[in-house]
Amino acid sequence: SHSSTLRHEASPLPPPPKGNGVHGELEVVTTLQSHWLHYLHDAVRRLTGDGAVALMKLASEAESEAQSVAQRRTQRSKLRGLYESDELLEHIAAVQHDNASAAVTGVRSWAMCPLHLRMPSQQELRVLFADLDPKVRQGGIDDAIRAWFAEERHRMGLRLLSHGYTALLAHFARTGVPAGMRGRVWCGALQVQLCERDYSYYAQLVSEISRISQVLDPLVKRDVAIPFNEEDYFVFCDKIEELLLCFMRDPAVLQKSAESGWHVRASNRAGQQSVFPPNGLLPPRGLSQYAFPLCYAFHAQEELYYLFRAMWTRYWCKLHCFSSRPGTLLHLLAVFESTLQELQPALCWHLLELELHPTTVAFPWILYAFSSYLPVEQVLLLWDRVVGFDSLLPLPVLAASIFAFRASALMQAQDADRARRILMDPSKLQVVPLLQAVLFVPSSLAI
Amino acid sequence: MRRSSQGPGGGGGTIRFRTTFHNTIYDVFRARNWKETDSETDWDVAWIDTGWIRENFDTMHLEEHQRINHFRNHYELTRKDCMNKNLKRMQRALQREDRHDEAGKYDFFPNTYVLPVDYGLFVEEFKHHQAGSIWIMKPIGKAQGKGIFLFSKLSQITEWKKDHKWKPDSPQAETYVVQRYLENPMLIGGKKFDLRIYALVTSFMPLVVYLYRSGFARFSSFRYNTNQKNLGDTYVHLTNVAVQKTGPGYDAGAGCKWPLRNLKLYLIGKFGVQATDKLFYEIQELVISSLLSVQKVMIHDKHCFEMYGYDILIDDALKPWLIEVNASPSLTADTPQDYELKFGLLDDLYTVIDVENKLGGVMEECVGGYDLIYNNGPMKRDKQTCYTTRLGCFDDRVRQLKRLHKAHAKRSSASSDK
Repeated sequence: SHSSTLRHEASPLPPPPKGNGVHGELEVVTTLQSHWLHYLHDAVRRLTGDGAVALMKLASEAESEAQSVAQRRTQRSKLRGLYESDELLEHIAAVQHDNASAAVTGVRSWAMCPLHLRMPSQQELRVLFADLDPKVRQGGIDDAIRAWFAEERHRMGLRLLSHGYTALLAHFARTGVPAGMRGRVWCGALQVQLCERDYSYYAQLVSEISRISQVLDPLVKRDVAIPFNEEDYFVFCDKIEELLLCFMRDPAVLQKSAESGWHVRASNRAGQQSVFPPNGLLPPRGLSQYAFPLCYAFHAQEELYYLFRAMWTRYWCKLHCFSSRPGTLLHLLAVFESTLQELQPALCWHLLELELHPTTVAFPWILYAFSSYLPVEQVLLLWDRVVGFDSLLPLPVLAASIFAFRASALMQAQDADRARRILMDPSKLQVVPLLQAVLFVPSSLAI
Repeated sequence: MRRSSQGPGGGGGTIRFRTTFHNTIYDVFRARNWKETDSETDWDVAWIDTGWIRENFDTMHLEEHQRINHFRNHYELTRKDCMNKNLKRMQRALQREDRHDEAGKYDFFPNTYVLPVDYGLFVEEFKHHQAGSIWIMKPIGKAQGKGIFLFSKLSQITEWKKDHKWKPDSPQAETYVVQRYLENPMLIGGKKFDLRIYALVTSFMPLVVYLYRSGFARFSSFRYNTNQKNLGDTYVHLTNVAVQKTGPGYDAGAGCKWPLRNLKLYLIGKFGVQATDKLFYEIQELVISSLLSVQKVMIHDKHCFEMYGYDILIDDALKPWLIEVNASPSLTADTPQDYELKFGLLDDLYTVIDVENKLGGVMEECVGGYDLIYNNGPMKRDKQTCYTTRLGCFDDRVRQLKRLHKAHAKRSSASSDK
């Protein structure tokens, strides 16, 4: 076990993590989970120099010679987060599924997601996303063309905000929120209302940053320093650094998360066991990507923090867990693969022939909710729908739609590099028309 | 002097360009399949630096079709002391005529004094302000932030006076302007920024102005503060890239520019659509007002056009302030996005100038990323959008150019059918 120094009184152990070997979870998922946790364990061990450096310690405490050496080695490493998206995908693709039909028939599916999960059918998706029907005017398209519609959305938004009813605000977000009121609407839809106690809690977390240093801090700082879409986000690096360091020290994240994240267990000098890091989440590369787009809609630091935390615990944590439950990462991957196969089987075949697996391109898009790929305006329009429909399904559906949109150019590509370059080009992509097309008028994508 | 052949391209051939620059403007010319020429006189378009203009313009004879990229006395707008003089004169003239509304539009420049001439007036003004208020000193002839410094005590410039052997009567004394420093700029992420907007003037008499929809915000890499002892840290206060490079820990790889569109999205999120639109409209008005103030002193010449780079600062009350106007805004690009912006800017410029007469002399409201904002009178606003100005709005110049050429083709085929 790792040694760590924790000053505060041992708080009661958090409730057992959901999904970790709980009755009902598929064996292949638990295998995957244990392999992955083992991998992360090793990464953490390497980070602490095999136990030489404490996972968490008082910043004021002096460190021994061995600790300083190990610390310096940690500092020199170029890690920007404990794991990258491709490492995660590699592990998913590598898992052996004893029950797969391929074991019997010898015909292996091209899909990387190892599970055969129940997919929503095209009809079910249309019902679920009825508000995205092309017959319904959308924020993101129609308000740019028709001034009266933009004004109407504005008026309606103000009226709903004055009532403050959560469900109505979420429903309003389904058809896009005007940029001027996005912050307030999301706060209402996610029930983030700050009171005195919240401000002091945040202030406490900020003071924790200087009081306790974690071995993960340099990783988080490096991740924030170079965002994926640097041009859009470089201005906010300082704000997000503080935000994430607080996030890493906030035990409420562990309690509130819909799906518990990957973490290790550690014991302090007194032998008391607890979760490390305190928020129950080992930071991936790109953790900051879930926060940067919010800077365009939220400006007060505390509001930004609580909204980010609310979105993480409600939505993004599902992207960093292994489970067969609908709405989590594996299910979303399966939705992407089956939607793409249904829409563009020839394109799938062609890309696989070029040795460019579609999931390897789409995985970072889905994992980071497109904030690493699309310009910020489009990301916010997409996240409007995630909040409005209270679902992550727009992510894989949009990914499949982008492939279909680029299909004619991709079919002409003769090598993997060219195909990859076509896919990695985010110009001319508009989230709302793409979603509408793939759900309701798929034939319009095949131009 | 040899006469060049009549008509562009020496009478129907390829357009010939002459330029001393080898950056984006050169790429734009080559992309249009124009030929480079070294000839002093046999060219159709020239993109020349201001020094050459100063020396040669007066002795040049230009053919009807030739186009050059500067006006003879552009310094009336771009030299800090001349600009100040022209703006003040315009404001006073409007006030005398009791046109107070219009005069009120001219409060976008801070009180400026030219040294050594106005030194006495400046000292008077300085004493009226509270102790510790910050002033900024700028040499009129330099660019890229060179020679600019801040001060808050008269003693700090007494030293400078001695250093420069500055004498009020000496004609060689370097002229400076001094003005109240804007201490409360709007900050984003704790950092100060300013805007660079591009305006194309194809004629001063009548005044025709196109405003480019895109531009960028330049950020200081360092957190803003007004500590008296940090006034010497110019990299906190000046956003010029050349100055930013002198700051500690400057990361050449890190971006420091935001496309205008991002800024607009951010401001809408923070202040709402109406306040943001009002700000951008005021910026557009600022550009027009500044050009109106020099309209009468500019030497009009139909061969000339000029693309100005406006540096604008926004304060924390959402008010725009004019810092300066550049006649030769930098055309070298730092990043691929920067290159795309500048390429589009220059390429669309030559579509507007239209040496090949492809648009048949029709004054279009939109050409690529340019919007016509003043045509011998302000343009009427577009009722289709809820914005009063297109500045900072979505700029799909490629699609716009396609539409433009299609519309023109339709027009010319319709007229040829008659």
